[in-house]
This record gives sequence, C-alpha cells and structure tokens, in this order.
Amino acid sequence: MLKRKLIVLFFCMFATAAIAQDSYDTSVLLQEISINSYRFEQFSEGSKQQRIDSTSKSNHFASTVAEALNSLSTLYLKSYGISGNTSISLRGTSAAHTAILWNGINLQDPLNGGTNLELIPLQAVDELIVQYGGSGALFGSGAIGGAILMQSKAQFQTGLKTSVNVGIGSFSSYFAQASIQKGGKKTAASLRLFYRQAENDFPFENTQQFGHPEMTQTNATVKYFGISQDSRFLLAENQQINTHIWLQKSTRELPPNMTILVSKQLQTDEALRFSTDYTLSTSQYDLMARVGLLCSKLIYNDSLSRIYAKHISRSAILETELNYKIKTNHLLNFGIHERIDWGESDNYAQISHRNNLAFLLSYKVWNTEKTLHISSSIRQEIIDENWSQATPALGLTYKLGEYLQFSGKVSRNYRQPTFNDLFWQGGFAQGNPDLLPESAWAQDIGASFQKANNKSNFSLSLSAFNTYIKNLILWIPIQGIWIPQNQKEVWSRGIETDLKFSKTVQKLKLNFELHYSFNPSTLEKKAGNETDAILNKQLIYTPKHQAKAFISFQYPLGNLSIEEQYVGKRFTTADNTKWLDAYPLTNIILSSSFKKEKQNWGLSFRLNNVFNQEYQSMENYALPGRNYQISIHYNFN
Amino acid sequence: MKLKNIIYLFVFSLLFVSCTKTEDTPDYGEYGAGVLISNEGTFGAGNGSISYYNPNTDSVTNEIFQLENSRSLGDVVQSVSRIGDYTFIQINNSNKIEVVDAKSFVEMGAIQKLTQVRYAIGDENTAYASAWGTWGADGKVYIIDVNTLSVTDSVSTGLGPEAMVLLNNKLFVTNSGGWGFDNTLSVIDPTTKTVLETIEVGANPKSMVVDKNDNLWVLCSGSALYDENWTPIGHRPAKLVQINASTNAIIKEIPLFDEQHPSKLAINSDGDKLYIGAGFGFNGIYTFNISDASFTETQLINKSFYGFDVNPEDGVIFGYEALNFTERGKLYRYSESGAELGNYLVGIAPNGSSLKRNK
Repeated sequence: MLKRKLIVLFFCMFATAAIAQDSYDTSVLLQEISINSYRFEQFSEGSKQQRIDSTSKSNHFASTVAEALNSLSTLYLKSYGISGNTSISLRGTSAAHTAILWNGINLQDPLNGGTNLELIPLQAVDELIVQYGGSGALFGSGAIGGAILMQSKAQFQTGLKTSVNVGIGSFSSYFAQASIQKGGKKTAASLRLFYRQAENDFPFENTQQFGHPEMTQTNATVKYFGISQDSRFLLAENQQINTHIWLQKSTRELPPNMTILVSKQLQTDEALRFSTDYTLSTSQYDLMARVGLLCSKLIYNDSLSRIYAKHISRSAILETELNYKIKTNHLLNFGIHERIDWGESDNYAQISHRNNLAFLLSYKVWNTEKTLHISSSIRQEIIDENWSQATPALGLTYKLGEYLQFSGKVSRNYRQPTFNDLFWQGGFAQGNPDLLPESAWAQDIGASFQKANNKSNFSLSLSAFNTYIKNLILWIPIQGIWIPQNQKEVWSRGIETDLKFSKTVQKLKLNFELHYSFNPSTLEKKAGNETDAILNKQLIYTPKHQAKAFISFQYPLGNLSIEEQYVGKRFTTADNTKWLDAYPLTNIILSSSFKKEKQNWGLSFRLNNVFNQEYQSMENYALPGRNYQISIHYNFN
Repeated sequence: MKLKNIIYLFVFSLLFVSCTKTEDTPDYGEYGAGVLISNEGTFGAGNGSISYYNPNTDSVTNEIFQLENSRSLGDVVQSVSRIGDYTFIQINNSNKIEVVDAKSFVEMGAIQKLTQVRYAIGDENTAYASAWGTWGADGKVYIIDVNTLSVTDSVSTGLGPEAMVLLNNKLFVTNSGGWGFDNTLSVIDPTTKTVLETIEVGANPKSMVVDKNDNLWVLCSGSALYDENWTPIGHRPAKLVQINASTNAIIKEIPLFDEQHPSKLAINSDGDKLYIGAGFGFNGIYTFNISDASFTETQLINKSFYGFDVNPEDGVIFGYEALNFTERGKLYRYSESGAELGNYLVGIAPNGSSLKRNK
C-alpha cells in the first residue's frame, strides 16, 4: 500500500517537473553542493579513488554494478553461480567491510551486513566511484576495505532528453532501459525504468561429476524490474531540494554447485529507497539536511529442503551538516547523523532495532598556492546508549612541481556487528549481544605523476596500503551452539598501480587503462578452535594478484574496446592447501552510433569471455563460456 | 665369478621368487588396507573429501578422491563404506553415491538421485543405502545391484533412516527422525523387500551395533525440545536398547543421559563393551559393558568429537574433531584405555570412517 502511494507520489513529482514553466529568470545557479557527496569530495585527502568513466559505462550497457566493477576495478567478486548471490572483496576484506553508498546513504543490510551489487543495474546510477581503503571517519561503520559510491542526480538546464535501450543476449537474456529527463532553470526531473530477464541456461562440461557430462545450467533464471526517479528544485538562488526514489524487485533462482544436479532455491529481493535533501548555501556557510528511508525484504525459499526464510529491514535516516568557510583556505564541517534500523526475521525473538547517533567533525586547510591540502575528520557514533570507538582520520595531498603529487592518510575504521550477529536465535545458533565492533587502523601512501595537454594525457600512480583488523567476528560452535565471537585478526596490505593513457590522433581517440594490485591479506590471530595450519596464511577467496586492463579506440564512426582481466590464484582452504587457478578473461565491445539533429541511434555489441575460458570465482560453481549481448539504443536530446 | 656360481644364483633367485609367491599377502592396493575417513566439507561448497590413514606409516593422506580423480567429490560427505571390490561414498547434499575402486580409489561410477543419502552396507552382490528423502520426510532404503551400480528397488522406512545392520537374514534400520521425530526400528526382509515389523525403541535412534551374542544394541540419541521461538523447553532423554535379533523383542533398556545427546555407538573386538559418544554438541566418549544393569557416567576420553569409530582388530579408537566446521578438522587416535596415540589433520568436518579392511 505504501509502495502504491509512493509510486503515485513520484509520478506526480515527475509530472510537475515536466510541465514546469521556467518563468523565473535566475542566472546564478547554486553551486553543486549536496550532503550526498560533500564530505567525500572535500575531506578524502590521501584516499585512492576510481571513477568509472562514461566510455566504460556505455560499454557495460547491460551489466550490473558488480559485473562492471569486476572487470574495471581491482575489486574481487565472489559469485555463487551466474544468478546466485555475490559478495565483494576490496583490499583483502570481506563484503561487510565495504560501505555501499547510494546518494550518501549506506545500503549495507543491517541484518547481515551484505549488499548484493549483482542486483543493481549500472544504468540505474549516474556516477560510480570506488574509494579504496578505510574511510570510517566519513562513512561510519562498515567502511574498512573501502566504499562504493553510487550517485544519481537530476540536472538543470538540459532541456528534454529521452533514451531507450533494448537488447538481447546469450542464454535467453533480454534487457531494456528507458529514461526521460527534463532540466529547466529551477526544476529538473528524471525517470528511469529498467528490466532484465535471463534463463542463464548455458552449456558447460560438468568436470565435478562422474564422466564429465556436458550439461546445461539449471535453476538460474533471473528477472528484475526497477524504477527510479530523481527531482531537483531550486527554491531560491541559494536553496535547493533534491529527491531520489528507487524501487526494485528481483526474482532469482539460485543455481546449485556442480556436485548437485537439482536445486529449487528461489530468492526474491524487494527494495524501496527514498531520500530527499536540502541545501542552503552562502559565501560563509552551507547548511545541508537529509531525510532518508530504506525498506528491503528478502524471501528465500528452498522447496526441496523446505527451508523458507523472510528477512525484512527498514531504516530511517535524518542527517544535518553545516560547513563553515573560514577565510579562503579553511573549511570546517560539522554534522549530526541519526539512523534507526529495524530488522524482522523468524530468527529474532522480536523486531530488533538499533539506534545510531553520530557526531562528525571535519576540518581542511590548504596553502595559498593550493599545493598542500590537509584534512582531518573524526566521527563518534553512539549505538543505542553505548559510545562506540571514535574513528579519526588524517590525510594530506602535496603537489610537487607540475606533474607530481604525493598523498598519505592514517585512519581508524570499524564495523558494528550485524543484527544476525547480535540477535539470532534458533537452529543451534545464538546471537551474542556482548560482541564488540571489529576495528582497524589503516595507513595509505601514494605518489602519482600526471602529464596532460589537449592531445594526450598520461598518468601513473602508485599506492601502498596497510590495514590491521582486530576483533573479527566469527561464528564458532560452543557446546553444540553456534555463537559469534570476536576472535580473529587479519593483516591486509599491498601495492596498487594505476596507469592511464589517452591520446588523440586526428579523428582517433585512444584510451588505455591498467590497474594492478598486489594484496597479501593474512590471518594473524586465529580462533581458539582452529588449527595452527591456518596462521599467517592468505585469506580464502582473496587473490594476491589482480590486473584489469582496458583499451578503447574511438572513431566518429564507432568504438572498439577490449577489456582484459587477470585474476590470480585464490585459495579455497584457510591453510592454503587448495586453490582455484588463476585465469585471464577477455571481453570485446563494438559500438557505432548515428546522429541526426537531435536524434541519436546506436548499436552496441559485446562479446564476453572471448576465448571461452573455463573459470570459477567460487569453487564448484559453473560460469558461462563465450557469450554475447547486443543492444539498440535511441537518444533524443 | 664362475659360471657355476651364476647358475646357483639364478636357481636361488627363482626359489626366492616362488617363495614370495607362496606367501601370497593379499593385495590391498594403495587405499584398501587403512582407515577411510569421511569429511563432510562445508554445506553448499561441494568440498567434502575422504582422508586416508595409513597404519603402516602412521600418517594421513587427505583428499584422496580429488587426488586420484582430479575433481570434487561432493557436497556434505556423510559416510564411506567398503562394499565388495568397491568403496561407496555417500554424499548427502549431492544426493548421490560415488563409487570408486577400493584399492586405487579410481572412479567407477555414480549412483544419482538418492535424495539425502546417509549410509550404505552390503557385499559384492547387493548394497543397501539409507536415505532421508525430500524434506527428510520420505525415508527409504535403496537396494543397489553392486555389479551394475544401479538401484533395483527401494523400501520405505520411518523418518530419517540411518544405521543399518544385516543379521539373521533381516535388515534392521534405525529411524532417527530426520529433521523431525521418530523412535522406531524398521525390520526389512531383503528378499521380499517388505517391512516385516516396526519396533518402537526410543527417541531418535541413530546408531546400532551387534554384540558377541548376536543381539542388537541401539543408541537412541534423544533430542532437545524447543518452543516456536527456539527457546529450549526440555529434552527427550538418551538411552540404549538391546534387542534380540531373532525374535525382534526388546531385552533391556539402559537410560544414558537426560539432557545430552550422543549420536554414535561402537563396540570392541570381543563384542562385550560399548562405546558411546560424539555428535554435534556432545562432549566425550563413554563405555558400557553389555552385562551391566545400569550406565555410570565415567568418561573414557574428554573431547568433543563429531564422530568416532573403534578398530575391531586392535581396539584403537579413532576420534574425529570437527573444530569450527569450516577449516580442517583432526583425527585423534587412542589406545583402548584412552591414551592418545597421535593426532593428524584431516578434511573439513570429519564425521566417521570405514575401518574394515578390504579383502
């Protein structure tokens, strides 16, 4: 019922925007300041960030955020089969250690700490940024390995724009996206719809069964539908309101591993996300406020083993921040963030809830030449009545000469236990209300060289990082009952290099990117009931070596892109006696477009896994060989 | 060297060769003589395995199926049994039995669609496999032709059929309850493939042995009771039940524990001493003499085992510690008196073994 009301509400909003008359002559546009990204943009000194650019985005015309990041960044995606659940690993940490931010709101599920990026179509977001390394001072609990930022925003003064994109792919997959937006001087709105379905009945040789039979993947159908709406209102020259609404439902069959022939697992995920923010900006200060609401429902049903589970979570968010601009080279940000999470599950005695009140303070200073920027932040969260550990951060960037830049950062980060960790009961398992948060200190240093002119751009950056996580939560059986305990410690460190090169030669534009990471992530302290054989060993499903490369050739007539990834061997046992072999993967994308006045027609073709590489990202789960996607798109500007 | 000497040497060596031939030690192959340990693996990961304890070298080789066949064994390896010239590996969540050559562990076939298969017994002609069935509500014993490795028939049992014993031409099957509750023993005629009788024994019978007088001993594990909010509200007690295998009549019942639930019963080589212990959440191994009138709670070994077995030849106890169920567990060997003889890393979640030597 609530959902229906909201649908009505945002259709109304959209209609308002579309018919809005730009009768006010406002020449001064409010600066692009929003509570959704302000702290990240202003106080991230010393952190490595990777922005997924528009070429990569359009190459991934049918991808999910998970698929795109897997081929473009050094994030490792662990997937339980083609339509199964996925989890990510950033800088040697687990999925619960990466904050997933949608317009600044953390989408990590309060019940289990996870977010399935495989459920988020890349086209649902305007901007996708990977922030590597701990950023608890900015984003609070959960941001130990890093954060993934997804932004969407309606734009002023764009006129009317529409776009439609439909396509098909291997294994009976069909997808469609449509968007319409109108940006006036004082109002802007956009509406997006997306749909995808796939049978995923790909053929594979089942190497894990007797006789290695040729089989077809079963129980892997996926269907999802989503709708999102962004609006923007300029209330006065220095005041504006943004709203974001996102509704999505997905139904997925979860495939069995290759040692099991039949599965009947089905999972439905529904999400409603809403936020609205207000900004008042003056030359002296900015006042920003935001209200957010998240609802999500997960239903898991296994009709073979008669397991049925329903998990519902709701979150309400109220945040306010104030920026002071002192002189011309100081910036102060103070904020209060309040969030309440509710969790409902058959495995909780009652509806569980948690109140998180956070105070945050950030300060940035720079010299008059703007070669040195120093920022420091601290965040203090109060969980229910308990003060949790403060998360401070200190970072700087220093520009030496024309081409060189150095950066460094020290930060403390942490993660609250999930509701399951705290409140679970039943089935020989019991949550532990006395759990401590996981905590981590992290250090980052980096150096980069960049040389650019109007024809070419070259940049090379080198980053080194070091994170030590204490009090890792682990479920262990104690006298027949599984109880989570703070027992393990993990040391993740490594080096990342990022090379970017682009050059324009007459009508040809060449783009090249290479990202490499070397990341030992080892267990330094084990739980009491584990064997010594696992100490100091690389964590399972955490590749020590990863490289992702991308090259594109852009002509006015069309583009050719090649994506290449190399994922090093990943151990599957904690004592490192078993592993999945390293694999290379190649994707090729061809696209062409034709423009006539305001209309733009395009055709894109994507060939994944060109060399039919057999590989696994999770032991015993089959993944498809060579497969394609083709799409036709139409834009009107 | 003179030619004569060479001839002597030749003759002597011939003698030597024939000598070894007459001794005729049985050929156990690489994996036929030692202890096969079933390691469940992590649920959903398909990483169950078999470890091999070699008594001659006092060492363990892990993942011998993967080693010999270069593929995964399956999801939740429940048990392993030597049947005829084969070794049968029952893989619960993969709903299959993988069959390998007992000596070399080279794959010979797979018997599929045995929903929630648990244990198997049998000889070179016929094997019997217990299986819980869909939702654990469709208990069956499958009858397997060992020559063709195919299912020829099945007999429905109670809920959660578990341990089996073939005695006096009858197949006894404990109905453990599966995910629910049962308290019976099914007595099956293997020729007519019908249930002759269902004997009520006690809550959740899971394990069974035969004593020196050819009487059956059944371990009824009992179970913890919960209300709808998973709050513990009590227990069905654990007990031993002795049964006359000819008349199917209960001889005596021995109460064991009121609030603890051992899941494994084993017997010494003389067939007069029972070992009770192991199972998720149960600590220790206890003994009971079959002539005793009541059970005294004296622990032989104080350790939490997920499964254990007693070697019928020398009385050595093999205890399997699952630790945290996600990393490798351990095998502990103990003398009959409970003194530790050694410990070894095995696979993930070890739960039991096959100690029987292959002919």
